[in-house]
Amino acid sequence: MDAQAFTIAQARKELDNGNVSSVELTRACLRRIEALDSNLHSCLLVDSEGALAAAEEADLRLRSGERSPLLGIPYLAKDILMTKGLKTTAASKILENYIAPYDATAISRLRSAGAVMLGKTNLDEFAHGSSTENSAFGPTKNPWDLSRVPGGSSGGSAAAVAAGLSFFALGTDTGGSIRQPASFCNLVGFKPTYGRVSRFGLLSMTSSTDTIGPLTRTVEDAALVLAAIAGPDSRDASTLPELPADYQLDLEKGVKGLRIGIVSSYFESSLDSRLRAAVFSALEALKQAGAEIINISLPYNDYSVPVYYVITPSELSSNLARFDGIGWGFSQPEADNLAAFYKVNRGRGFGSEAKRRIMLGTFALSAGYADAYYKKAQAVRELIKDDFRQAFSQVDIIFTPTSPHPAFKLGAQVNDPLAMYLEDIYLAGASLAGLPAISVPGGFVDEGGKELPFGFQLIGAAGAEATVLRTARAWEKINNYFERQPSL
Amino acid sequence: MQFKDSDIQHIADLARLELTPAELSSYGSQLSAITAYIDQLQTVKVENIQGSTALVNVWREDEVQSWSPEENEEALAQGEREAGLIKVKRVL
Repeated sequence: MDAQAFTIAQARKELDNGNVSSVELTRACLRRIEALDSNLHSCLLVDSEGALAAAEEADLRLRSGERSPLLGIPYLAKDILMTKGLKTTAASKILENYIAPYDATAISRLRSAGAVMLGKTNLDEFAHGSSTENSAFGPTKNPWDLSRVPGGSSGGSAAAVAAGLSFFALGTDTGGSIRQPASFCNLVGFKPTYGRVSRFGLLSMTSSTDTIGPLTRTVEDAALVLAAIAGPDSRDASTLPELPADYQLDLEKGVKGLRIGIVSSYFESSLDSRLRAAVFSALEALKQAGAEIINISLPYNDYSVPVYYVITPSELSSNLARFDGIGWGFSQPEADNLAAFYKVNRGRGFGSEAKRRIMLGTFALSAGYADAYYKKAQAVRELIKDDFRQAFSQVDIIFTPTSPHPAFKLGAQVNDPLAMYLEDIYLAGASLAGLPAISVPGGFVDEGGKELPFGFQLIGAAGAEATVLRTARAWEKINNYFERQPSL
Repeated sequence: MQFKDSDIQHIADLARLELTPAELSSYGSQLSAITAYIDQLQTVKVENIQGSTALVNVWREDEVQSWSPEENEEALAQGEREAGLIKVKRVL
């Protein structure tokens, strides 16, 4: 019994009925990682010993009668979340040997919930990218077609769950990094409202849009994981003060009477025509299920990618300033003065995309340019937020494609950073406005004899995770695409 | 904005980054293309926006809190130390 055959909810029943133990589930996942991950390269670290110890403890808790949603469930965490006593590298050479002294809040909450951490997953260095090709330790492959990328930056997490290496994985989403890989790998990927999940122990990229969320096979599983990690944290002052809602409560309520907004220009020429056809049949199906489809406009969202690629480099150029080779991390001792020491450590420790973004952010914040770039982008960001505020006075959910196309080939876009940035075209808006947004499996296209998945995005108003999940579940029930799995 | 090699070198100095010759030559055209794309923002009218002035500060004052000595030690043990202090390069 492994994570390929079972969802969290199904494994939960088997664990609670005593038909399987957490140690057995954990061993099955570890065996599958051992068998498959040399081809996929989804994991940067596998902690078999720690996982088996955690599984034994979970079995003790289960035998003593304790019942809770994630008790004994094996998972993987994106390697940008601090994990006490284990390497936390952000897929960067600059942190290659860094051992986290404490757990991120998301990790410690899963630990108390009894979930079993198997290891850490690959990503674009410091989460800078949309393909996982920017990892200093080599790219991850897409389980649906090993010649293609899994998306990014949470590509390791997505590939691992799609391949059944774990029951779920944690990802992080700053401008689409959970949703886009979920769409490339036939998964559910949920970016919660900004502040819903504590960022304590997450290596900061863009502090004003960084979020943590689950990659799972089903919507129900996403609700279970989010409930375990969400909620206020005194160690992150930007967490929302209210306790998260009961995400299971309305999950099966359906979409009858729900108002779903669409932006017709999103379905024009840049969208793969096969995806466009799928969008229209999905909207028809949702209408049949009782939803009302309403045309809306989000005029300033056309600027979301240029705004995002000013704000993100600006914030990360500041956040990554702490990596200087002093106190921890990659260090070249031969430099003879402090300025040269900084330059050599940072220049050789960071990869090309991290450096490109630091450069862009340094420029956007530099004297003489900050008004034209950074302040202008912040002003347009307010207009983007207003777009959404107005839209959510008319509709409950906004429906978009997740990505304009299915997974692309490894290497196809590595020399064109701007093309890579345009991967976020449907995704950056919800990040800039801090809104909850999910990617759900949307169907498949045939590409050279291989079946490739794609996804749809559902965006909700701030704090409306339950509505997003309920709509996603209604869509999932119509098609059950999650049941299809890659052949490995 | 068209970035010359000297502009790229200047930004790299500000950001304390050593660049390889390949990066020095490719970043100029890449950053020029990216900022050309970003420049579409200049056409957006933003005169009537409240923007960040409408936000309130949620941060508390900094304060010293106790932390696990064992985790402190693990955090500090990863760099060069001398007599219990983190060692840095000569500044002057």
